[in-house]
Amino acid sequence: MRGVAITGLGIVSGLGFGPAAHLQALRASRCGLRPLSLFALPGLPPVPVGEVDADLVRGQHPSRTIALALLAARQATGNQELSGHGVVAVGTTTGGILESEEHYLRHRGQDGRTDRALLRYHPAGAVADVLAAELALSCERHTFSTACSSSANAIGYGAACIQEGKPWALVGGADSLSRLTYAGFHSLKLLSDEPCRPFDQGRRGLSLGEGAAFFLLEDEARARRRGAPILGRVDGWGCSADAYHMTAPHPEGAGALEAMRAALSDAEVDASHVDYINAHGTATPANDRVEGLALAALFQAPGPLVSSTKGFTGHTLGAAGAMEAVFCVMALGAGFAPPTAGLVDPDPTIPLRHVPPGGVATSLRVALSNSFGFGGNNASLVFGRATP
Amino acid sequence: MKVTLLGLGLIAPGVGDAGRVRTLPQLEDIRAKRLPRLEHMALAAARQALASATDLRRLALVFGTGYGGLTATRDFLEGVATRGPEFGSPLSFQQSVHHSPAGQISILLGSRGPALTTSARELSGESALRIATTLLATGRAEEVLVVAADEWTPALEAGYRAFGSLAAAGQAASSGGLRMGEGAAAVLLAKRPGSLQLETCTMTGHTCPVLAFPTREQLRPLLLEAAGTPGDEMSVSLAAPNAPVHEAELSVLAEVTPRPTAWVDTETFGFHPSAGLLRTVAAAMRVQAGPVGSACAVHGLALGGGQSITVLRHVRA
Repeated sequence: MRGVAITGLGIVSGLGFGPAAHLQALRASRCGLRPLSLFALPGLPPVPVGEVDADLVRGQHPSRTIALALLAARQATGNQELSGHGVVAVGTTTGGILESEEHYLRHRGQDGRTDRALLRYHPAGAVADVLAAELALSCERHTFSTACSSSANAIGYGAACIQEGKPWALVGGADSLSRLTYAGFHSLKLLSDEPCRPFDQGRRGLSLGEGAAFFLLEDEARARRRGAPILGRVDGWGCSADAYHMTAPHPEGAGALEAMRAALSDAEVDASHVDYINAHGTATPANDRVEGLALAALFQAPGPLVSSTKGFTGHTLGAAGAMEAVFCVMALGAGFAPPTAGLVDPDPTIPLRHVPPGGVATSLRVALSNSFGFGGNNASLVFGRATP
Repeated sequence: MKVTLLGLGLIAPGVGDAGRVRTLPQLEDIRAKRLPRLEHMALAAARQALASATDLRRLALVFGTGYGGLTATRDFLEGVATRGPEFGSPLSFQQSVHHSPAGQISILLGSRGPALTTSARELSGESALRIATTLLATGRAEEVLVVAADEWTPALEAGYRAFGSLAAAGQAASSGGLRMGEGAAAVLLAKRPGSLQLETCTMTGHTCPVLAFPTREQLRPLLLEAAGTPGDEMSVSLAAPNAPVHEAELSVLAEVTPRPTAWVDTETFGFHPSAGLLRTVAAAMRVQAGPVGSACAVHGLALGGGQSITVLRHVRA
């Protein structure tokens, strides 16, 4: 894939609002996880999560996921008018579930008319519809819902649309915390009771988070003609299915390996040229082990610098791929590889070249981001540093 | 790029079944038998469409659904409400994920190519088709299985009813009410010669309230362009989600000379997010049964402003 320029980006998470706040937090190794306060679930303790500051979302939109999406998408577009028929591609796992589950739990068994406004934004596709309406975009809209790889696939698809000739693509993802996912990951015994520790020997599971991140993508030649700032490039997208198990990754990481290979092939980049990898790194015992196997199979030791940023933001599910894509682009632009928050004692069975504590200031040209999800879904993206 | 439809699959309500799929096809293997209803419908449609697939291992899959495993979502929340949040069902949680049917299909078929799930309100099937054409056009797949499925659930019906969107029993056909349905459809797409071509797959969106369809003025340009597609044997499959929108579509077609044949399949399939792919399969069967040159433009509309046109044509192989 050639000539897909990133000309705008936006991000909101438990770390704050905007790329500058996030870069500052990553440089300072400031963890954004704190005990859940958004809702209470009797019987389940409030474990650390990446919850967005209430002041940021207040008054934005009745749906928290859409509010998060609007915050990030408006940053990415910079309120500019986008002409021509582009595409909006959003990734989300649960869309407006936070409000519709509240309706269900309050009014189950009744006719549903009371508090019906809580149901209005339940469909996952409503996120893209509202974004398009609020930003006055008449264009095709798709909502990718491939669990934790949703927004990585939305970015990849948007980049492929630029490749096909679309003038622009607004791509990214958003997910709010919800009772469904909080109790759901608890039911799978995957929630950590302490801030998650990806790739650590003592890791005890994942920490959830919420947020949104968006890119504005354009054909690079078009962007240069209009003098747009080029923040980086999407160079490759690869995706695959494990065809193995609904909740467990392929034991040898075959699907993850295939997705990374496809993304590198799409980018026409040799594995030896990758400088930094933002790993999926959820901190569950199985995921980290399998991702380590796949990385070891593809990259010769010592390999690229690797970190997982989920210890900063929590696992933001449908938004994770986009948020981590933003971290990759910021890393390339700033020449700074962020560390893995929570990694103290690396698991010796996962031989990776971890970014050391505090992060590393170094020139980075190519970054790869991994996102793997339920149903054995794998997506990898390759990003290139902007060139003058 | 020429895209050919190589296989079709359809799980649809029977005549007189009020939009419900009353009998599901038997699935042979034990794992498939355990699937929930939505996944069962999706897999059954997928298998029907697969007869001509050449390489299942490299097959790409794009699944469209508006609501995904809504029954599972409800079951999980019901467990939270009755047994307590610490006793949510892990199986229901897993099946509540929109991508769950696609995951099951890739596991049961052994397909390891790209597997994507998309949701675009009542254009979820069309969104899956559109994404599939991009995978083919950009060389990311040689064959793509497109599947779409949605199920009727009491909770979904209650939700629509709460907003006054549904037609009441015995309500006149001219009312604005929707009649809900369910079902699944599948098409196998490839970049190789065949007699049934996917000529165009166009999507757009209009600024609309989240529970409203595009207005006549909004839907007119794209529908007019599609209805004017060259060809003697041109027909249009109308979205017709309710009577007022159907009338708006007919009034646009009245501007076209000669006026194309108009089909309405919504009465049969009912209103649901995947119905567009069921109507596409019905259109494909009609076009294939017609003479070479026959074409059909399938018009899709969604609450929230989405609009699509899919043009299928019978060509000399």
